[in-house]
Amino acid sequence: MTVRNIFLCRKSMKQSFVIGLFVIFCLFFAAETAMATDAGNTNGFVRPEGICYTDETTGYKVEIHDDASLLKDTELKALVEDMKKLTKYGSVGFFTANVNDNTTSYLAHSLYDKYLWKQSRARESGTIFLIDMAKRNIYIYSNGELYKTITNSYADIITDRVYKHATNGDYYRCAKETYESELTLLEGRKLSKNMQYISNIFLAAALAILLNYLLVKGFSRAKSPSEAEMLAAIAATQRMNHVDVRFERETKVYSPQSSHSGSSRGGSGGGSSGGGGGHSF
Amino acid sequence: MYECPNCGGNLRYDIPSQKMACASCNSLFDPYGVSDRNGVEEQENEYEVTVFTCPQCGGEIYSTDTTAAGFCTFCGSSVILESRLEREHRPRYIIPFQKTKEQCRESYMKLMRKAIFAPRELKSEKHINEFRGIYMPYWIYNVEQGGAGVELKGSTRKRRGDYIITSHYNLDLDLQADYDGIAYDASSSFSDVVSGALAPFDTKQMKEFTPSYLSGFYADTSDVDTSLYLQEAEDFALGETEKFIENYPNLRKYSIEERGEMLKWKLHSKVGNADGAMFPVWFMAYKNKERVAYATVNGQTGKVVADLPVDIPKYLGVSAVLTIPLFFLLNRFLTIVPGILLGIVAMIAAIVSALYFTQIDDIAAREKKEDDRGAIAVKLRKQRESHRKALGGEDIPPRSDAQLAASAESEKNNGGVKAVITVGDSVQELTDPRGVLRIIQTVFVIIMMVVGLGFGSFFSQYFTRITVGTAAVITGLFWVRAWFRMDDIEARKGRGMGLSALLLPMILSVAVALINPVSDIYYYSCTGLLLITMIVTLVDLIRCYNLFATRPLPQFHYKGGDDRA
Repeated sequence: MTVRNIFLCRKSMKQSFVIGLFVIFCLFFAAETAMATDAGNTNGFVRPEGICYTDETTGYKVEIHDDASLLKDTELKALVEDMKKLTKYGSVGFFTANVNDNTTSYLAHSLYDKYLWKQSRARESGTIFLIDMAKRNIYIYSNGELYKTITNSYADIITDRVYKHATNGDYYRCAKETYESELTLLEGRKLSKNMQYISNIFLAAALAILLNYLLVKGFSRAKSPSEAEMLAAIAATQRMNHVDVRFERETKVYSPQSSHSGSSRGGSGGGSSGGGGGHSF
Repeated sequence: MYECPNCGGNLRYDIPSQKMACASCNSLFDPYGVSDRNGVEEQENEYEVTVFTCPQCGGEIYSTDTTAAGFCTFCGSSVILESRLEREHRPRYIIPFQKTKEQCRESYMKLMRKAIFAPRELKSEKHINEFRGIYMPYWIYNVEQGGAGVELKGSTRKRRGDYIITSHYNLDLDLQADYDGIAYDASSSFSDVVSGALAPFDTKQMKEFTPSYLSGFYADTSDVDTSLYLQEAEDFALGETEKFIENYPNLRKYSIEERGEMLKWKLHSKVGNADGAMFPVWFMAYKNKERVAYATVNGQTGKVVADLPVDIPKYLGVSAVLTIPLFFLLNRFLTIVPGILLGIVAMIAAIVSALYFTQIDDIAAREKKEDDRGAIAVKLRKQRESHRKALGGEDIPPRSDAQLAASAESEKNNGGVKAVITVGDSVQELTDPRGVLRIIQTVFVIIMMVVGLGFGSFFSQYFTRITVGTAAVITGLFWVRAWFRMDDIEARKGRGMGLSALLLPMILSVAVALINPVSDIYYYSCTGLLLITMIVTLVDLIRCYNLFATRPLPQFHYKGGDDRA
């Protein structure tokens, strides 16, 4: 083998090496892309984030922000299907958060205002479900027409029904049952209110024994006579034969009247005026 | 005893006819026209009576009859009363009985029909038969106020811009205000609370006293002096005169500037000599173990005042029934989460603890007769008497019943009764800590209520912690005060307090509120425990109330200084 042959052979090896590296890179890139696609897209589904559905008839939408990554993509996909049913009545949101420096109710209100309220249709009606991992709370916030049905009381009742799933780490079931309960109410069906019944029976019993005691005391107390009755029972003479009123002097005391600064109604910048309820988990 | 001039039979005062009636020939006589068959000459200030003494409690009542009574009105014992003849001070006036025993029974039954919580035995005919007519002694005060040329200061106020303008006037009045017949009970054994509720007696219907009115009835003796209610009578008259002046057409717009003693002085207020009087009271004593309950009926007007103990099963039954409508009512508008429920129920428990203490305080006051000026005065007078004897008859400055009662009230208001201890030669006074506790507690309760309800609802996430904490502090403070006060109730000594049951659930509730567990079960468990112990506390409270509605068996013997009459 001549020196030239040896040189050519080395050159060929270099080319082969570069080509090989390129092929390996291409294969790796292709595999990576394929893996990424497979991970994020089961049967062609893209992980939901932001507005992932809009009801063409009503204009209401489904909004999802799983910032705490509590749900798998498959779970999110299934959840969206549950949430879609509610868009007949209003916009629906699902939010999770890892960081929260305020109260859960404040965060829920803020998220509603940021993502749902500013949409024109959402101004009319909407509800969100928030899982606040920072405060370990779940919270339902509703506004507009939906708030007339999903009131603060029902928000408390629904979250009390589902908080155990959140405690067990089954966030999907927690969210799913929340939306199902909301749908039950919106469709005009009855929702069992165990928490309300238990709390009210305790409170009613406590009030009953207290009120009854006051009743006992009221019934048993002898009434003292009034001053008029006392006066009528004695021989009393009250007579004014002459009255003379003479002005003597006048005194003035400075006493400024409280000034009315005027109320500052309006101009607060707006914001939704709904409400909600929650439960720790 | 009075005998019939026609047949020699026994004459008794007949209520329907308002005459002396003969049981044998039905003849009627004017009470002022008959005389005692024993021919005992009545002196100007005294008359002869038979005094009946109960061998059980030492209580004394008297009558112009000599027939021995079958039971004691004071302690309810069925005993033959011992009797003796005595001369009693003659009162000036009497209001004869105008309501018969039958009318009295009807009035009593009417009250009992409304008393849904009263035990059945109080409604039985057996007890109703034991009503007895007793004339109770009263002091009658007359007050005169006013005269020509009464000068008072009056003023009107109005606002003009940033100034309040007060116009001052001289009011020259020619005023006459006379009050004749202001009555206060003169027996230390007759509770001021009962006599106050039985009032008023129409003193315009008073008649000159004659012993024949007592025939067929009994009477109690007066044992407090006339000074005791003098101030009260004058204050009552002053209040009425003040109202009259302020409501007089030409004077309505003026506010009278003088008050109290100054107004009395300006009105030339004068209290005349008090006269003794006898007022009719139907009296029923119902004995239950070591307690006695009283029912009294005003013998002139028919007004009933009765101690009504509460039947505990009835109380619990009504509470259970009341729970049902309350539950449905609450369901209409209220949904509360378990944490908030715990806070609210803890606050209710704190109210129960306050009620418990208030009841204990009332019972102790009744047991020690702190609510009866007459009894306080008589007790202190006897203490001074025994003190004088202990000092070998040495004179101690005389004090009227009014001064004695006033000093006792002053001591009570200044922080409880002082205890005097002797260490060697030195005498030390120990101030009862209840006064200090009362102040601390009042301040705490106000602060805690504001913090609990105000800030609790403001910081909604801390509602449970703040309300439960507040309730626990309030309960603890009332527990301490009740514990101190319980010592004053003889019948409850060594029996513990129902309020103590609330302490453990309250501590558990505080722990749960602080830990803030996720599961509802902890909140419901604490709420349930609080509820159960609240029932225990309230049942004990009812037992205490039953003590309040009854009195200890009276002891009139005064042996060894025991005068818990």
